[in-house]
Amino acid sequence: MDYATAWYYFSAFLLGMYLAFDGFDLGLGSLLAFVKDQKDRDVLINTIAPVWDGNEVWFITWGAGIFAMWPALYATLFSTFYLAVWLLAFLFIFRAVGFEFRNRNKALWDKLFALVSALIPLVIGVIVGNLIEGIPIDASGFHGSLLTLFRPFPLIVGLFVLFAVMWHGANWAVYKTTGKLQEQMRKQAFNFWILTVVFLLLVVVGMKIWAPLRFERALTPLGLTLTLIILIAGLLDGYLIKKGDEKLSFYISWLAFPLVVYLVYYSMYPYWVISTTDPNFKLSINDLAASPLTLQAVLGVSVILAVIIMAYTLYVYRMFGGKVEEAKGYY
Amino acid sequence: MDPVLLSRIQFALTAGYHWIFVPASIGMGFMVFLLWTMAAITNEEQWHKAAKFFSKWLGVFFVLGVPTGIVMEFEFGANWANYSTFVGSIFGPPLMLEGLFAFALESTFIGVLLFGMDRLPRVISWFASFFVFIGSSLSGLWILIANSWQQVPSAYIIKDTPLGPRAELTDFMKAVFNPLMVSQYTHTINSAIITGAYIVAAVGAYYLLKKRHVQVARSAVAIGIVVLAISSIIQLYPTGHEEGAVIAKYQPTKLAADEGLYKTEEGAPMLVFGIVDEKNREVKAAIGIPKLLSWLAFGDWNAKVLGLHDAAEYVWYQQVLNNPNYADEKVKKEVVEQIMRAHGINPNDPKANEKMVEVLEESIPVAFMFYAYRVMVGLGTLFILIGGLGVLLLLLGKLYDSRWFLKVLVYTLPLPWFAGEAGWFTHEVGRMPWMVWGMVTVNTGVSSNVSATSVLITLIGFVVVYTILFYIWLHFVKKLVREGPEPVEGDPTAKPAPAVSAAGGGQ
Repeated sequence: MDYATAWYYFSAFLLGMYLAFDGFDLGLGSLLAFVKDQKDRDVLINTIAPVWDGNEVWFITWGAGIFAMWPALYATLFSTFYLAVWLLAFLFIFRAVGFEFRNRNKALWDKLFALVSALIPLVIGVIVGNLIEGIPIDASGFHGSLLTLFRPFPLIVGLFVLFAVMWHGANWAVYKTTGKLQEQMRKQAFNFWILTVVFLLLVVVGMKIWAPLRFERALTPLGLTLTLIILIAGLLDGYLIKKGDEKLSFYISWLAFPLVVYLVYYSMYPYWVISTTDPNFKLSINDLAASPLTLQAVLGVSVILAVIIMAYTLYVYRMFGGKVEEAKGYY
Repeated sequence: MDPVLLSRIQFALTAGYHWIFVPASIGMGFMVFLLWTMAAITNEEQWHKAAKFFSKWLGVFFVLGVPTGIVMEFEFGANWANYSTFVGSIFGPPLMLEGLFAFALESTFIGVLLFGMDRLPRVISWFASFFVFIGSSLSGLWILIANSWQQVPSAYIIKDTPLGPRAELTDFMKAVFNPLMVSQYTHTINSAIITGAYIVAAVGAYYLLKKRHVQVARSAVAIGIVVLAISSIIQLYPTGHEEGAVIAKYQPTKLAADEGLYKTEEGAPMLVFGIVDEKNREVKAAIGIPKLLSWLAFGDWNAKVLGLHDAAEYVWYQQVLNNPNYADEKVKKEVVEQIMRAHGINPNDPKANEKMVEVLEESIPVAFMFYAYRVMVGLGTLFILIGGLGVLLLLLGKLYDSRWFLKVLVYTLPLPWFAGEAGWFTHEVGRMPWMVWGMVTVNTGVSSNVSATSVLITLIGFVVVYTILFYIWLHFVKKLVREGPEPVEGDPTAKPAPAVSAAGGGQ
């Protein structure tokens, strides 16, 4: 395997970790919109308060990895989708602030927080959807506008990611809470599990229609195997939620994200960018890659560090393990 | 409107705003670690309460440091796409390693610190404070590796690729240990420690003046003053001195602007005061110490220090046109002509080189640099005085009762930020027009496909959002001050915090 390919799949790992970790706190944030009792909302927030900062690190690292290893891709995407990128940045700012400062006016901040938490996965999904479908770009540059981002297929992907994190977030909430709140969350977990499965199927159909090149690659034996694993694991989760196995159902939704991201990366390989207007215009991971020495110099150390981060992250999760019942904040 | 100018304003705004929270987070990280250590060594309640109290302070700085930092990562791709394509292979890896080495450690353990200090063993809090400090200083390290490489690039080669000419690494470790890195890093981290020490000392002084939480406040003032005295001396020598010497060697235009030096001089003086007259290219009413600048910059009382025009000429001919780090002459010609065109100069004009020297000369606002530099150095000197005086009072046993001195501490609390921002201006404005010294200017680095309107929209967005954030942030600082630390048993001045509301907000 060449270095660009190794980086490509390491990048998939980073995005997968981001959605698996920050996914549940984004999802839980969105679910606040459905929780009427303020004390319940406090408990929910407290289940994620000690860990959400660390969860966001995976996103920063994923972005910085694209910047470092595919600088031209990073530059092209970010400047092409300038306003969408800044929308995402502002959402991240408001989320961080809402988290810490919600005590000022909980009713207002919780609504904002839920909205922002829902928009982040939606926008990330839309961006990924654009990468899957391709964009109107050719040798002379990009031919579209901000609205180009929000075509049907990217929107389907965006909604899929949103519902998936909400399912994941509800699973987390069930895992961390007790009593009536837990029951309420279990219902939400099941509802959003259904929506996730439905939208997963829509994404598959959508790929067949709008991104045939990617779809074909997903049909290779490895792609099909992965798809099958994801479908079986996903379907199993609905049963587990109903059965009340809160641990396993959370672990499965946790694992689903890296698997889906890996499948998406696999189906896109080796083209980061394909054109929707010029079938011959494609930019492969090698075309856009940084210099060979850059790719080599930090791969080993990055992989080792990622393992170390996983280790201490899990240690910290264990430290804050157990059910959260009190509603005390620290500010 | 000019998209380059708008993008520059946006970057200056976002980076300057980020810089309010970064030194405070790193410095408070150090102070909080010290406080937890003191608590462990002495096992006395007031140290423990102080450690917990200032951990919360660290929290409110950290909260705004993170998202305002993410903004900057986005900015490189969005506003400075050509720059990112040109040097991303070298500039990107430190950013990525920052995430993996440092940011992860910091963000994970700040959660442990803030949410664990009431329910986990104290030793875990001590470790967490240690990891937060290590994380934030490593974070600064990787960011400053990236920044110092742009100031004094090393270990690279500029090659032609299908995506256009770009800089590629030739030796990773040599790029990391570029000539500026060590001095810039130590100077910057130390400035953060000054800020942290100042906050702890001033907050303690405030409570002493109000006669509240006297025990905790005494601990805070004492440790803050000691750290302030030591770190403010280190800031002048060796770190500041070392950094100055590297700048003198590699960025002569920056040095000339710092000193308002228009004419090349042998045995140049260091100006203590002066009024810059940009129009007539001179410094009026100058009061200086003879020959000091030559000595500080080059270790020789009679060394020649280049004036602004000669320095610009030196940069263009020696550092750009004679730059040996090009794969071949064709690439060099391409890059050089790109720079000329971006600055409105026809490369075929026989006077093109002279015109470029003029551009380099005029890109630096001399008066601004001159004053910013003096604010930084002047305040640095003031911190040495305040720190020294504080230590003297501490040794004489009068520190806690010298109300005038405590007042000075409280009222001068904003000064470390002024010094820090002035230092940052000196450092960053002084490299104009270069984004990456000798190869990418702001005009060549900007995104060519982003309209001025788009930048204007986001710029207005930032002004609005950041103003709201600052207001909310101040509100939380006020709340922390009002609540104060948890009461120490037996301290009659320790007023308990207002009752926690029934709804359980912990406010």
